[in-house]
Formats: sequence, structure tokens, C-alpha cells
Amino acid sequence: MPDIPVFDLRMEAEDLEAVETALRSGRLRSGSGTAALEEAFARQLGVPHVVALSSCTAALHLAYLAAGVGPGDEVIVPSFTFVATASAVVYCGARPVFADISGLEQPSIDPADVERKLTSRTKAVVAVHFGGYAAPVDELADLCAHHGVALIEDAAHTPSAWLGGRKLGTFGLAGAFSLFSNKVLPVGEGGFLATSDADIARRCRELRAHGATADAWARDESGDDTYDVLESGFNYAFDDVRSALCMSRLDRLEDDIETRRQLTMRYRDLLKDTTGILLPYTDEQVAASSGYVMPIFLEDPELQAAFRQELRENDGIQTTVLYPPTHLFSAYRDRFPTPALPNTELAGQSIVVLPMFTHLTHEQQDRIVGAVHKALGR
Amino acid sequence: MSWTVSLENSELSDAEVDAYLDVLKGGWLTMGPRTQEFERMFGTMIGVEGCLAVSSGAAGLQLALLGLGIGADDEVLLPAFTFVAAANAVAAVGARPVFCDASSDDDPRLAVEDIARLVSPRTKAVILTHPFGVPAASESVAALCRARGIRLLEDCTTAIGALAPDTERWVGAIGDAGVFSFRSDGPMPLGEGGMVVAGDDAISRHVRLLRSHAMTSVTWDRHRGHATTYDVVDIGFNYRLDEPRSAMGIRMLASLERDIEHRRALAARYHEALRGNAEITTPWADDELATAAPWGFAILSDDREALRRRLTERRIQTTAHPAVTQLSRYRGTAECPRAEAFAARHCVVPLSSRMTEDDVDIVASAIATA
Repeated sequence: MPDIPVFDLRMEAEDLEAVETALRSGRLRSGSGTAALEEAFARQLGVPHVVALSSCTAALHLAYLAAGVGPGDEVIVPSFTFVATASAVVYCGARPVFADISGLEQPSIDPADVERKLTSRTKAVVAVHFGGYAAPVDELADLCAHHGVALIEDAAHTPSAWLGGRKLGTFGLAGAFSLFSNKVLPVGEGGFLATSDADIARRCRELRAHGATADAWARDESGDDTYDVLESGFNYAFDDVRSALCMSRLDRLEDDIETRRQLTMRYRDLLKDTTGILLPYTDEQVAASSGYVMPIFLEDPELQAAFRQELRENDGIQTTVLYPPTHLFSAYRDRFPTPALPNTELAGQSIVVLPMFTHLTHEQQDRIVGAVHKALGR
Repeated sequence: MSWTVSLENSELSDAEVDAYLDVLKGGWLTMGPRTQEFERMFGTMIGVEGCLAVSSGAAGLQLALLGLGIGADDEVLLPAFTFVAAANAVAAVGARPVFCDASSDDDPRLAVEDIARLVSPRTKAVILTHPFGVPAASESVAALCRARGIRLLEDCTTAIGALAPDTERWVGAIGDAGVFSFRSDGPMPLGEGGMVVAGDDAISRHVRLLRSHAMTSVTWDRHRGHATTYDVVDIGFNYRLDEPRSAMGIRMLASLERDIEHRRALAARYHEALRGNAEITTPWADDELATAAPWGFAILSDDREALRRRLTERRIQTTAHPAVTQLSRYRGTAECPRAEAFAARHCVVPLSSRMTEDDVDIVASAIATA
């Protein structure tokens, strides 16, 4: 195990109390606790509807279905993202079309490349708010509206981040959020879909419960349990125990994010004069971000493996690569051949993600920065 | 509504609650040592090595079908009286569900003779459901499948620990793969969760890969320094179970045999109490209940709606399921009159882990007083 892991998770006493109450209620599956959580997250985002799901992957899948994505369609996605962004397109029987990122300074999907890759078969465009920082969803929303395609936001990293005074995940037809254990709002496994469209919310509630026309909770309350299935659904249900944990952590979300932003600014300050690396984004963007991770790009991509090895073996510091480009994975290379995406490929080769978690100490940060300087030979 | 006797009764023991909380305190929540231990223990109990914990029974069915190599344009035979998740899983992998009728108006299990009638060159698998914890004919269906070179997937999503007829083995261990559910109305209530079981290493390896995005290493490996990066070699999913639920599952497995005995005793008591009732029949023979792992108790009435209303008035929760062929999505794809007759006449009354024999008597007397 590393001395300083890339992420670390601590539960507080109030989290454990909330979970214990839920466990002892005699009712574990999704019910009033999940409904209350959905309302709370909807309020904090400022959207009318939130649907709690088993994962962010499930949320992406349902968001694409909501956009009408089906066999023969194309969905434009970044390749510089977790693979789920693209695999959920394949679940729908559609084809992911990979667009490049704008560059290392702004490593989110490039609207100009999106525009080049639009065809008559394009059904949706997906923006990923990489690392907790806003993709240009204002510009993409206009572009999508102009071409009559849906904008979906992969907001896995941004449960509470902003662009121009509006929460990320609320610009498109639907936003998909992650509750995975290494995320900003960590619960273990889970996700949210947010939308302002009531019909989409209703359909997603059906699809998360096998396609049944009234969800189990409503049936249980009314005593009427007759249902129909109009389309094949899935089991993408969350449960009331995880809802209790998420609700407890949601209370601290803004404080946690503020801590992450401060740690990010401290990292940036300590690393700003370091030659051999590039820090993506601007200080102004940090203030609107969720501070999910601390990415740096090495100027010499050849150094990535050795740099990470040195931090791991000499200093006990774990790092990670977010993300190896999706279009280069075996499963995608042959099935969906993609012309070169130079910025994405460079980003994948040169990125190193440094440890970031809310209880990261200044001593640990200093040690990490020292190790970075040493590994770069500075 | 607050029920006097409810279908779902998932009161947890202190040990189960502590197991969940201890994992949270430790801070490692996904795909770690508890999930591995849960899988090992489940494997020991079922006598099959390849066990993979997943997010739900429905997810397990989809992964098992993919593990068995079922895909576009294939056909899969399954009973018309089953939970819709099995048909949805077939659809999710791009295959076509072909529905077999029930054995009789009184027995919802797949009519074995329908397999020969409906099998085609495109048939790649049979899904055999063990409804309400009562074992269907795993061995004879397995023999039939072997003879025809098709795969058998046992849907055990309401049958944890039921014994396959004439064997000492759990259902789910007989077919090429078996799928279990840890839904909160069953004997192992985890909220949501499931297990895929497959003796063939190639199948379980494939399921393991697809469960977590077909990545060649998982977060846990990378955390321990066993891997630094990964490839993605297939189109996978997030169908993982988390560590707290796995830890609770471990505790539940430790008391499962006792729980199943309790469920058998409750079923026997229902059976005895309802014997000789002119209005109500029960679908199962005594000896079938002795090897079952009862999960709810199904009874049959020609005036099912009146029966359910009466029970609801006495605050006894009941449920009933349509045959899959009665749902809009699948309607008109097959003629299954026996399954639909069963569906129209059956009513599920409470039978769960924390119920007492007194609870059974309350329900049975409410059923009897027409």
C-alpha cells in the first residue's frame, strides 16, 4: 500500500449514524430515503428532477436512451475520459465518434472538432467536465441546439461545480453524476441522472426498475401493485442505505469542495514555477470547480512511466493516469477505428494525477511537491 | 400502509449491521477483500468455484448470458411465468426471448416438453427459473440441453439454497451458469445485489471482466501497486457489488442454512393449514417444499382479487405477478395459456426470514375465512 494514496476516503460519525439508522429500519431497498435524497440533490443543483441510480454508467446509458440514441446512430464523445462515456453509447446499439480535446491547457472536448464530426446520424454530443472543471457547455449547448442534437453532460466529477453561475450537469438534456468511492461525493457505488424534463425523469424511473410502469415504492405505498412493461428496462436501482450515506455526505459537500479548491490552489502555488510540467486550467477556473483531482502534464511524455514509478517506489506516493484514451483501447481500436486525436493522445501520454482528498495535509502536499521536483531532476 | 404481516421483512442482526459499518469505517468501499471473501464463501456453499458478486440479479442474468456467448440474432428459451428481468436480459444482449408455457395451470415452472417444441437452429440457451424458491427440474433440463448442444442458465433469483431434485446440490450448480439475487425481500437482503455462478473458468473469467468495464486491472489492484494502468478489452459494464454489502452478505451466508430451515417450516405450516380448503390450492407437493428455499408463498384461487382484497383489509400484504407474455413489451410473441392462467389465479402471501409461525397462522386464518 502507498504511504500517500491517490485518493482516500474517511467516513465521519454522522455518516455511520445515518447508515446505522437505515440498516435498522427493516427496509433496505429504494424508498422514502432515496426519494428524499433525490429531492435534496435536485435542490442543490437547481433542477426539477433527479433520479438516483446504481452507477454513473447507468445514468449515462439512460441519458443516451432519453436522447433517443439507438442502433445506427452516432454519439460524439471525448476519448479523454473514463471508458464508460463511450461504452454506454454501445449499450444503445450506437456508435461512439471520438472528438479531440482543445489542448492540455483546457483538456475538455473541443467544440470545433465536435462540429467537424457532426453527421446526419449524430444524435447526441457528450461533454465531460474533466477533473472537476467545466467543459465549454455553454458553447456546446448552442452548437447542439443549432444542429438539433442533444447535449448530454458527463458530470461524474462535478456534483457541485459551476460555469457562469449555473451548475454543471444542468446545461444539457440530462446530466450524469457519480457516487463512486473515489469521487467528490463518495458513497461506494451509485449515480444520479438530473434533468429538467419530467417525461425523461419518469421514463428513467421506469427503466431503472425493469421497465415497470409504476416503481416498487409507489406500488408498496398504494397497495396496488399491478404494472405493465412497455420497454425492456434494467435493474439500475439505488437503495435506502446508500441514500442515507449520500444524504449525510451531501450536507458536507460544499465544505469538502472548498477544502479541495484550497488544496488545489496550494498545489498550484507550489508548482507554478516548476519547469517540465504544465498545469491545466486557470486559477479562476479552480474557484468554480469541484476540485476532484490534481492533474499535471509532463512536458516530456516519455517520462510518464519513470516519473510515476519514482514517486511510487522512492516516495510511497501513488499517482494515476486519467485517462488512457478510449479510442486506443483494444475494445475500441478495431471496432471503432478513429483518426488520430493528437491532443488526446498527448494528454494520455503526459498526464499524471497527484493525490487529492479532503484530509490531505500540508506536510503530505509538501512531500508530494518535493518528490515531483526530485523526479524532474529540479 | 403499515402491514400486520408484510412480504418484506429485512430486519438485520447486530452482526450484519456491524459488518456493514466496519467496512465504512475502513474507507475501502469497492471491489476489495470482502467481495472476494463473499464470493469464496458462496462458492463453498454451492460447490462451484467461479462465483462473481454483482449489482443485482438482473445484471447477473445479462452478464451470464454474455458469458455463455449469447448475442445478436440468437434465441433463448425461457418460461413465460418468470420475472420480467430474465426476458429483459435476453433483450439487452440483442437476442430474442422465446417463451415456453407453464407445466400446468397450477404449476408455473417451465413445461419441459416445450423445449423440444420451440428449439430452433438459432436457440443458444434455456433459462430455467426456480419460482418462489421451489426447484424446477434442473437435471433433466440440463440433460436435454446437453443433448442439443445448447446452454442452460438457471435463474435462481428467488431460490438461494434450494436443492435440485434428486440431488444434494443447490440449484444454480447444475446448469452452465446460475444467477442469484440479494433483493431485500429474500433470505439475503442486501438492498440490491446478485451473484453469478459458473463452473467453467472461461465463463466466469468473462463475467468477471464484463462486470467492471472489461478493464484488465481494477482500482484495488492499482491501489496495492499490483498494476499501474490498464487496457479495456471488451464492452463492459459497471455491475459491481460494493464492499459493505459484501461484508453483510458474508454474515448472512453464515446463518443461511438455519434461515432456509425456518422458511421450510413456515411453508409446511401454510401447506398444512390450507389443506382441505375448497377455495384455495397450493401449487407444490409436500416433498417439493422439503427441498425448496421458500421465498414468498404462492396460493391459487379462482377469485384471486376478492382474496387479495380480503387480505389487504386485514393488513396482510400480498402480491401477484403477470406472466411476461401479458406485458405490452412481450405480448403477442407466444401462446402461453397455462402460464397466464396461473398468473391470473395466483397470489403471493408473506413468507420471510423474520416471520413466526404465529404470523403464518394469522395469514392462514385470514385466507380461510371467506
